[in-house]
Amino acid sequence: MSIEVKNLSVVKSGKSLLSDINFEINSPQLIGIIGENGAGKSTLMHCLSGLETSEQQIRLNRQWLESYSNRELAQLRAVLPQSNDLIFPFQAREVVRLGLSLSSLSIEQQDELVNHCLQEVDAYGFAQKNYLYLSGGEKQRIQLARVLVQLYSSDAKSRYLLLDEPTSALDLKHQVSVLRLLKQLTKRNIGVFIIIHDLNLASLFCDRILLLKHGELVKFDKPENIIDQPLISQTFETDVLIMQHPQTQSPLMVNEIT
Amino acid sequence: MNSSVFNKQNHCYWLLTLLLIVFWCAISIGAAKIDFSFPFELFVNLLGLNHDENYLITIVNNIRLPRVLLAILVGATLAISGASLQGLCRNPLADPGLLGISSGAAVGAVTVIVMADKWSVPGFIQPYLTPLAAIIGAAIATFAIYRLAQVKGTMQIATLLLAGVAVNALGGALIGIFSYLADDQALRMITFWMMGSLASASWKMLAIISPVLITCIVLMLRKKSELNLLLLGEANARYVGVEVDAVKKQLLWINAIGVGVAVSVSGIIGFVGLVVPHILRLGSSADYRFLLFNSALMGAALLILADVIARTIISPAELPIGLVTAVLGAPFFIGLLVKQKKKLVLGI
Repeated sequence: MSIEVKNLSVVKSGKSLLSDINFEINSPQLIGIIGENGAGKSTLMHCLSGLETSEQQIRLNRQWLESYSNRELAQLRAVLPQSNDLIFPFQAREVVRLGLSLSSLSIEQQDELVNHCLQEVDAYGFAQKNYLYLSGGEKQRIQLARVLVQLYSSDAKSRYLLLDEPTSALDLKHQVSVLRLLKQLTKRNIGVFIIIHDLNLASLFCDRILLLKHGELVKFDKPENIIDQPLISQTFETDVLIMQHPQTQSPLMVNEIT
Repeated sequence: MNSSVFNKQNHCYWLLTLLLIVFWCAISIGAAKIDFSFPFELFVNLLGLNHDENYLITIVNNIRLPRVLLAILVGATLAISGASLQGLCRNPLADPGLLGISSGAAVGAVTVIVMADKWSVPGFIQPYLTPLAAIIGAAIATFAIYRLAQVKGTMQIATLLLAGVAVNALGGALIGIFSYLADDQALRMITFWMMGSLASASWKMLAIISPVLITCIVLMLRKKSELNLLLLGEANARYVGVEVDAVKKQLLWINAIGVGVAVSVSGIIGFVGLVVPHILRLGSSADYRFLLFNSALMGAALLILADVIARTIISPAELPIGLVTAVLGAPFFIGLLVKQKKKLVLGI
């Protein structure tokens, strides 16, 4: 998998949302995108997903992103936006199956894949329920399963996953289990981009972290070089203290109380 | 949890049975005579096994049968169009009547009805003129509403209904103006036709419109997966691989053509597109893989039933069918609005 972002800028109604972003990724990694509210994280994700049309700014597998059709892109990447509302009653597992709507798999293969992904996100127990009546965290896991089946159903060699705050509504247990799952994906040649506000989770699980501020790339590096007292305090304009994880020695942060 | 909502089995066999029963009744019941052996006799007659000159069978063959077939086509088109518009707008209150698409078609059709005498049109084009004008009217209304109702890429319920109100008001006004220009005969036609009627059904008319309507229904059915994905929002549909802009445009055109042709022959018949998909979502499945086909079946059955009521309740006179569907459908619409209101107030 290779993604190359070159001088990426996005201006919308006179406002600069992203300016001059440059980075390159050549191997499947778990990449955290962090930054304050309005820093341009979701905009960057839209660009990487191919939703915002950018001309010759992003290259995927050495081809300009805009040269792929929606159908082709759907084989290469799956995207989980922040909000995923439904207005009509659907069984939760049928919501997962929507990820396979355009696939050519047989019904049996689809069932198998749906079950597999439901188990991966620990959602098998409530898969028969009405999606509309699920809790926020349960909905989030169902939606994650939906993008997973889409990605798994493709036989493309290099694939990637874009997730906009997939752990925002999850409890402690599922935050960790979802991030573990994402980490495993990278070993199966699937790159993962994840927008995340919990910097400690990002520090523990991400291979690299993209730090954004005011639409600019502040730093793109390993967690130990990002979760750094002056850098985080400055970027988030709030004082933090950095400690070490007792097991992994990776940096952890807490708010400084003044 | 209501288990029937997610009954995995598709309910189309039930609906087919219902359609057959209603069909049988509609052929049997009428102002001339009620006889439940008519469909059987008609069948024997059509097969050419028996050629008795029974005038009742002639009535059934030339009047009731085309009328029932027209009800099937129009009912299926309106219901499936409502179902697809609800998915396209991600809005449970979408319906060709409420959104003003039917009004748009009516304006087109009325223009031809009133002006046709004043233009010199070759005879062979005549039967196609009203449907064509209705399609144009419907298309203008469809795209206008779609543009008007979109706020930052999403359809708000309020803006959608307001756009519908606006288009309906404009349509009503234009038709009002035309009715002042119309002569007596055209005026009577307009008035009756604005309230909907299947009385003009004939074999000749069916031959013209059925290819169009059947094509529209089939094309709509083929968009079931795309419609399912559009329920997740346009961005998600795109991510899963739908060419959203193209699909939207196709669906809007199919809707405009289907509704336009349906309105050009049957007038404005409201609420079918609203009520049918909702009953199916409550009783069967919201999944478009089933919903579209089931809507077509149920819409057909419902319109046959409404037409039987329309032509028998004040027999030998006839009630416009639009009044029947409105009386049946309006309370349903109010119920839906109350439900929406609760949702907005309680935030659930």
